[in-house]
Amino acid sequence: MANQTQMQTKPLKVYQYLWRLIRFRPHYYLLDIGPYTIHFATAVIVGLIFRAYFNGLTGEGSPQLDTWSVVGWQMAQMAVSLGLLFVAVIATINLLQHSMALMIRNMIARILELPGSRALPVEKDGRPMPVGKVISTLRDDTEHLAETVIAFDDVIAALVTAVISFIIMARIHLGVTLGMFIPMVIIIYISHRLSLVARHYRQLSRAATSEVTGMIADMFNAVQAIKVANAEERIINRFRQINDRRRDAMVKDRLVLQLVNALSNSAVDIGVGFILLLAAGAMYRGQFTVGDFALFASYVWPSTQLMRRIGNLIAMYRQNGVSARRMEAIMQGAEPGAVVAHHPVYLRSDPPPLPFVTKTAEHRLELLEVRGLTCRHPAAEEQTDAGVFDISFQIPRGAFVVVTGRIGSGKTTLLKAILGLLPIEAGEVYWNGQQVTDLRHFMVPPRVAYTGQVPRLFSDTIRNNILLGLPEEQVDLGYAIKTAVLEKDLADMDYGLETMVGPRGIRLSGGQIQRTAAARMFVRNAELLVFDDLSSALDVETERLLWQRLLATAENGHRPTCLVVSHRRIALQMADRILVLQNGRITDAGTLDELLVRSVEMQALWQGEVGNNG
Amino acid sequence: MNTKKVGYRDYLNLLITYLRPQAGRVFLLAVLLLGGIGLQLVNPQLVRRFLDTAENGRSLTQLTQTAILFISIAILAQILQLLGTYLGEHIAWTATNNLRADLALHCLRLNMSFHKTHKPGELIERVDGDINSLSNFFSQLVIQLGTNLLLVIGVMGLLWLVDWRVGATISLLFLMGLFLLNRINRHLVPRWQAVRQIQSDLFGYLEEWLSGTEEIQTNGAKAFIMRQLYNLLRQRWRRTQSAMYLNLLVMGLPIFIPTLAYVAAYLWGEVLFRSSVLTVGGIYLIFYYVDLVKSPLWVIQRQVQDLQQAAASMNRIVALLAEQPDVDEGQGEMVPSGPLAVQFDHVSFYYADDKETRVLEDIHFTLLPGRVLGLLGRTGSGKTTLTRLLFRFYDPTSGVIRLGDGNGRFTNLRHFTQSSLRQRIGMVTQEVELFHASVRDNLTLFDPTIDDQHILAALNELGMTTWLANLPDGLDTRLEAGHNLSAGEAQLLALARVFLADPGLVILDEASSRLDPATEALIERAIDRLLVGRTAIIIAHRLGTVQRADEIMILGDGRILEYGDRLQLATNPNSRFAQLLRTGLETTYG
Repeated sequence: MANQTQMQTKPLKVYQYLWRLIRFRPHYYLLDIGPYTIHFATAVIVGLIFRAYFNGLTGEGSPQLDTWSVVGWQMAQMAVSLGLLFVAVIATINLLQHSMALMIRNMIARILELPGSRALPVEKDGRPMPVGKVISTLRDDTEHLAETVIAFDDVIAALVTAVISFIIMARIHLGVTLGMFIPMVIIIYISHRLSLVARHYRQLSRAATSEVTGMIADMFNAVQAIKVANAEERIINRFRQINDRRRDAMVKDRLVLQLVNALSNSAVDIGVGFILLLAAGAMYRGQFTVGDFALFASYVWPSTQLMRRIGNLIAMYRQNGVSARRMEAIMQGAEPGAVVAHHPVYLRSDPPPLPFVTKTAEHRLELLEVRGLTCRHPAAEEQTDAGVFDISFQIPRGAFVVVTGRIGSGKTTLLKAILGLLPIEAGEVYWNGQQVTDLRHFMVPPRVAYTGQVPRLFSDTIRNNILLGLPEEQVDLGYAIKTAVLEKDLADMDYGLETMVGPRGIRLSGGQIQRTAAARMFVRNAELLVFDDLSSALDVETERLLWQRLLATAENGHRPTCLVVSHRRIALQMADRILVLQNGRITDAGTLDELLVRSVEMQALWQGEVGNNG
Repeated sequence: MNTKKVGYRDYLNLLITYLRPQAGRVFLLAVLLLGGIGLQLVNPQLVRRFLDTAENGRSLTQLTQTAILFISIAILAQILQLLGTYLGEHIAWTATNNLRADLALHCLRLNMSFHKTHKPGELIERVDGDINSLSNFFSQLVIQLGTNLLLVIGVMGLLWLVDWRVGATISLLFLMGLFLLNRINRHLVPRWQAVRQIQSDLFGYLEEWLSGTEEIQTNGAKAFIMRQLYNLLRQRWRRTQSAMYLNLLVMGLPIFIPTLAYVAAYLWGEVLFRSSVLTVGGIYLIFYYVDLVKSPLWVIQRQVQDLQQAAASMNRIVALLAEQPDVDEGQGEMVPSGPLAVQFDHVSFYYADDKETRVLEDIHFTLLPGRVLGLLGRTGSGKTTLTRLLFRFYDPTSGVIRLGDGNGRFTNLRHFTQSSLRQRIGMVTQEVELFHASVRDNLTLFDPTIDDQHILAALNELGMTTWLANLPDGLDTRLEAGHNLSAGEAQLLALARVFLADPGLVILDEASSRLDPATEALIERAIDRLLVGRTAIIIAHRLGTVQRADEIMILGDGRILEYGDRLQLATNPNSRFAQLLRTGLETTYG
């Protein structure tokens, strides 16, 4: 695992990402590129109509058409052009939505696949990437990449049109044609050089934007602390500084892009100017009609579109390098390009029904064994809480094992390592004597369930937060609620189980959040229950009731096996076995009575509680 | 959040408010853009002269001179436009940055009840996503839409000069186009609004999920979350598609209208040429001018689309700005210095949206300066709400809360300014909220007036000097909860924050739970120091934490069940407190 995340991955070329996106839904791509190219190329017909009209008017040159035929041709051209445009636009929207959905799906699937406590990528400074920054990649970088595919199609349509235009013009007057194209080629070259600069400014502006998004996320996550400290204005002053930095980066970024645009804009007028300059002699001599001039002038715009779109594409393509790298960072060690690997995105069809694993004999726990387990916190060498080392213990069926120790002794790290939330460095875990190789997929319901120190709820109803997708008719929701001592709270709420908990459960009290999380664990009917300091927001009475109800189920013959982190007496007294952790190592283990006699650390922990009670 | 209809007046007001400080630049921008338009209008006249000269076979030199003049003017026009872009972007970002900061400040000042119903991810989308659309509104829309409209008007005027019949027909066609665009867009706005809404929902949920990866894994809920994601993505696709179907009409018009204009030019051109009213150059000029406004019409079309998105964004921003805190700013008195007295005078409280359940019922007590009140009660008994009322996160439904000075003078809480109130009351909660910022900024909450010596003294007081010494950049080290900071250290930092703020009343909300006894002892010592010369209200579930209290209050279902001197209650065997002490001791001693 550790090797995998550190593995040097060779990134794909940008076009390889784009190619995989195109192949994801090729029919939308074909419906975009085909009709759009023809739509754009009908501009050529307009030039021919102009020429025939002015030739007819002046009676010079050929072909000539009478005015009503001209009108007929013009209307026909419009009908075809519009019809094809509509087809192409609808295909484009589908292509974009499917591509973006695919990339978002792949990144989220990858994040959820990684060990839960290491799911977000670690940045250069060794810290996890802020959620705001991940969101900005999910939102913006996916869009940039998807839109580049469309930018390619724009170039192809313009290219086809330019080639046809060139052939028609060269047949009329090669000299004027070449004279008109040469300044345009020079302009392409300049905009190409400029787009190299664009990449640099793009990176700066993206970084500045992330700073702003990250700061907004922090601000709104810490509203209460800000209010209490009366710090609203001070926070906003800092926010203004960060915003100013982004403005400066943004203006530069946009200016370079606009310079590229301005070059191709001026190309239209300069193109017409050169036709005027070069055709002057030919017209003076009568070799070039007004109709020819009208045709040439009408071809300038589609031709400059080619330059403009190529410039635009080059700029976007370069910026895509940045986007792709940011997405790969989130994919953390997955095979390069996995972010655009093809998977169903279920936009047109329903997603498959949720799998439900019924508990069977094969899930039954007889004995859990941990041998020589080491799990280090990455980039935390200077920390006291550096991890856990060489941990070994056993939990037989039905046992109540408590892990205790001071803050930073590694209690939480130990639980997370066993659950596969953190990658382990050494050691093994055995389930009924069988070594578990893939902890994070194995240590899940119905084998194991877990409640963390600070449980997270999602913006949804209490019912959905408890079930998290379990089919209600196949689980015992009532038992879970009762065991979690949540039934009275629910009865007091107007909407009961249908109560919306608000963002992160903020509408519930701390105790209610914790007991909802406990109910979420109990409803999963797991063989091994892992509690990380469940009682931190519960009063003594409620905690006692919860343990009583949980262990009362012993009479039904399935008393759950429990692994509990706690330093509270109520839990310590219930323990069949206590593991004392000190600086990441088990320094003693036994029953409470034994430990109180022989372990100085246990005595200190126990006395700490006594001391507080006076 | 109500979504009331926002009219053009609101756009205008917002525009004026944020552009006024930059009036000089705006003026310069207008000059640049008008100059550019003028040059663009002049150039086609040169083409007309060229064609007529060529047709009459007069002077080759004159033809060449005209061509060169044409090219020079074209380049000059582009330079003006580039300068305009730079200035425009700068003005737009300055304006929207100010709006962004104002909106963020407004949101921060809204009540906690607002923040309980709005996800941080949703507010990110408002304060960033929506305002980015507005930045488009300022730079692209106002400038480009304005210049393009002026260009179109200029061209129409010149077409009337060429021939009034041609001018009339083509003006009418373009007016019809703009009218239709406007009509269609009225139906399009709500659809784009729906797209933005699902967008903000999608990223709101993603934010929650990304913060809850541990829960998702250990509850085996990955498939469930993926299913939720698919549903959101599908809705986004459907709503985008629905908006796009209508949008096709908006895209078709800029092709349809110029084509009709061409047809008019063909027919009038034939008539006017045959009757010798116009030369070939004059007729070509008509086509040139139609082409000149064809592209602006494209731009106008695109900008109007953006305007719809900006309108949708602006709707939400104006609605958000219209949200008023249900607690007023206070009446301007300053909270006295020194330890504060607290008086609850028959205070009751229930939430405005739930009048059935009384959260607090007839709370009545007085806490003298320097005294420590221990607050006990089960979860949901109203302990937390009682303390939040002191910060005026909410106002009591009935009854009055007062703060008093050392001389027994009491003043209604609502008479104090909010800021002086929050300066004089400090709070430590179990959930410590940290910023991705330096240790210094996290301690002072970005207050540059607090010097390092004070900070170091506070850290020293709390026994955190060693911790600080181990940080790579000292006070400048960036903090990361759970990464270079344990829960206990975060608690100590929160205490240091309060130390630095030097309040007269301290509220400790479950401050010492979830810590191991050794760390807790460290924090207990810190609290002892903090409480010297301060009034305090301590909430705890555990009796141990309450031992330092002078007075005890037990709450149940929002009422005071028991209130009195701690020692008296402890020695009275019939008191609930004594009973609790016994069960508590039973718990610990078995």
